Order: sequence, then C-alpha cells, then structure tokens
Amino acid sequence: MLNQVDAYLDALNQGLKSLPIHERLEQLDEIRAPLEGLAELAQKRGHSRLDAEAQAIVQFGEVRVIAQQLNRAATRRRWGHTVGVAAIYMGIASCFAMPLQSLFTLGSTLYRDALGKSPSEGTTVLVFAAVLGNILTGLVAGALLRRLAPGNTLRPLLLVSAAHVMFSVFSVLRQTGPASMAVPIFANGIWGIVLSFFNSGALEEVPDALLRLRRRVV
Amino acid sequence: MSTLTQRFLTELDGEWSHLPNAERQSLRAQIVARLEALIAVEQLLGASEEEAQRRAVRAVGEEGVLRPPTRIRLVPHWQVALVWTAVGGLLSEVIALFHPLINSLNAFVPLIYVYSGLVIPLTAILTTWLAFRWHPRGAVRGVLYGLGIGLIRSSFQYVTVYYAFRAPMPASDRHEVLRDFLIRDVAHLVVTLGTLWALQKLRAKKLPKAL
Repeated sequence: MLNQVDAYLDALNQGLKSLPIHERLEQLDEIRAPLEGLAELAQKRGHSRLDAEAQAIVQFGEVRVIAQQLNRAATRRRWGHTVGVAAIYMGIASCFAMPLQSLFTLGSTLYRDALGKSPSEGTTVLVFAAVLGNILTGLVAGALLRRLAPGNTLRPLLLVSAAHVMFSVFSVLRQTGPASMAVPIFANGIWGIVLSFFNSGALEEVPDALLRLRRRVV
Repeated sequence: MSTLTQRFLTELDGEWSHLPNAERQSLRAQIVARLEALIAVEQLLGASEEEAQRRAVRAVGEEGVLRPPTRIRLVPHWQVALVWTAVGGLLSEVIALFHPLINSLNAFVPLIYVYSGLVIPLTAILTTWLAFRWHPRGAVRGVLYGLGIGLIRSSFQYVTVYYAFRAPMPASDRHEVLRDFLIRDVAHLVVTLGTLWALQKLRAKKLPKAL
C-alpha cells in the first residue's frame, strides 16, 4: 500500500510531465530522501508514522509550487542548452565561412583572369563562390554539430534559422538600395543552415519533437 | 523481465544510441527500476503478469522523453572561443544594423571610424564580459583562442582583397580598404586584450573577498 510520502511523490510526478523521464526520476529520488528524513525526525519526537509523514509533507511545501519551481528550472536549463549549442553552431559557421568564401573568390578570380575575361563578366562567378562557400560552411558546421551535441540539434538549428530570418527581414527593411537587393540579403546564408538540418541529425529528431508537442497540446 | 520489457529496453537503447555508453547504461538502469516498480504495483492491484507488464511499458513509454539533452562534447575554453566568436559577429552586425549613425550619416562619416571607434569596442567589451559570465575559468584561454581564430579569418580577408579584387579595384582603393581592415583588427585586439586584463584584475580583487 502507498504511504503518504509515495502519494506526495506520485502527485509531484504528475506535475513534472514536461521534464524528461530520467530527470523526473532523479528529482523524485532527490526529494524522497529529505522527505523521509523529516518524517523520521518527527517520529523520533514522538509522533505516529502517519502524523510524521503528514508533518514532513506540510514542511516540504505544496506539490503545485514545488512542481512549478522544478519545471521552471528545467525549462531554463533546456533553453540555456539550446542557446549554447546554437551559439556554438554559429561560431563554427563563422570560423569556416570567411576562409571558404575567400578561397572560392580567390579561385574564381584566378580562373577568370586565366580565361582573360573582364571583371564585370566575372560577377556571376563571385556570387557563385559566395553561395558555394555558404553551402560548404553549412555542411561542415552541421557535421561538427552532430559530433558536439548529438541528438540535440533540432532546437538550436530552429533558433539559428529564426534569428537569420529576423535579421534578414530587418536588413531588407533598412536597406536603401533597390528592392531586388532583398532576395540576395534574404538568401545569403540560408542554404548553409538548410543543409545543416540534413547532416546534423536534426531531421531524425523531428518525430520525437512532434510527439512531445502533441503531448503538451493534449 | 519479459520479452515485452526486453523489447522495450532494446528500443530505448536504439533511441539513446547517441548517448555515451555509461550514460545509456545508467538511464537504462533507471528505466528498469521504474518498470519493475510499476509491474509490482499493477500485480498488487490484481493485473495478470502479462497485463501488468503491458501497462507498465505503456506508462513508461508515454511519460518518457526519448531524447534527453546531452552535454556539449567540447572542452570549456573551446566552447568559450566559439561562443565568443559567434556572439561577437552577431552583436557587431546587430549594432551596425540598428545604429542610426551608420545608416544615416555614412555619407559623410567614414564607416570604418564608426566601426573601429564604436561598434568593435562595444562588441569586444560585451562579448569578453559575456565569456567571463559563461565560463569564468575557461574565459581567458577561450577569448585568446577566439582572437586567434579572428586573426586567421582576417588574414583570408586581406589576401582576398589584395589578390582577388586587384582587377576591379585601383591599387590606392585596395590599400585604403586594407588599411581600414587593419584599423578594425587592431582596435578589436587592443580593446579585447584591455577588457580581458581589466576583468582578470576585477576577478582577482573579488576572489579574496569571496573566500
């Protein structure tokens, strides 16, 4: 038969549904020890087991409040992790973007010179070099992210994509050039992020993410 | 453990294949304990063994999040270096994007002086301070690594401007651009090292008080 401490922990378990199962079990184990300690202390003072458990539970706090605090802490930790991984992805991307784009630009210029074409004829090649640099950067950053934060790449990449879209929208709104400039501003860099979704393992996390979302909505 | 629970655990193993072995074993042990407890409760409530296992597996499966967050597998100073690089790049672009001087006055205020005199120092101070907040012990090494990465990136920029743009740009323009890059890099280097030194001093002052 369940005692009061178990019933309390069961109720707390219901309130911690947003936590991953292993974290929830750890939290419950951590809470059980002081709860039982408090109950034993009250029992030593002469209370019956039933009274001692009731006192310990009152001393420990309301289930709803404890669950709220633990959920909040877990959410903060999850967001911290997501932002950290997103920043690391962006760091890797910015380490590779400049050298790769420079190398492609240099290569395409040397190729254009070797063919004896004028600089204006080589503009397309330069744009192509920039896009190729972005694509390769995305592939390298995605592969490295898979190694550095395996199984946790979807949320960071979604965050990076959202930041990129927001930044592009602001850039388009603030740019003073012709309207046609909006397309390259928006498209610059997005290819790399899109490819990172494929090779970082983010897409493999989508079914789980949808399942979690459905559970939260239900 | 029955065939059903074994299958369930094997499936969980597959789901957690991205985790290191020790972590996976520890999680598995927790799940096994939870399953056994649930099976025992169900049996106490009168369910047959088969039914108890089915309910326990369903309960654990429904409440389990199958992809727990993993620790970032990178030593702290490299984490700092990458985060410092990323935040630096992002901040300088955001400041440049929203700074009214850069958009409205760049017709008569040379852009590089706004960058080197305002955007770069502000970014360097903020990012270095953030690096100390992120990981106080790995901050110095991380920021120095970040500076190294930044200098390598800049060297690619110098080479590109010097060689790749030699056809469309007259030599004097190219030298001007290179000089601007140099001003920017020196400003970044000096302000970052200065901030690093100041924060180290501050930390050294605070530590004895905290102890």
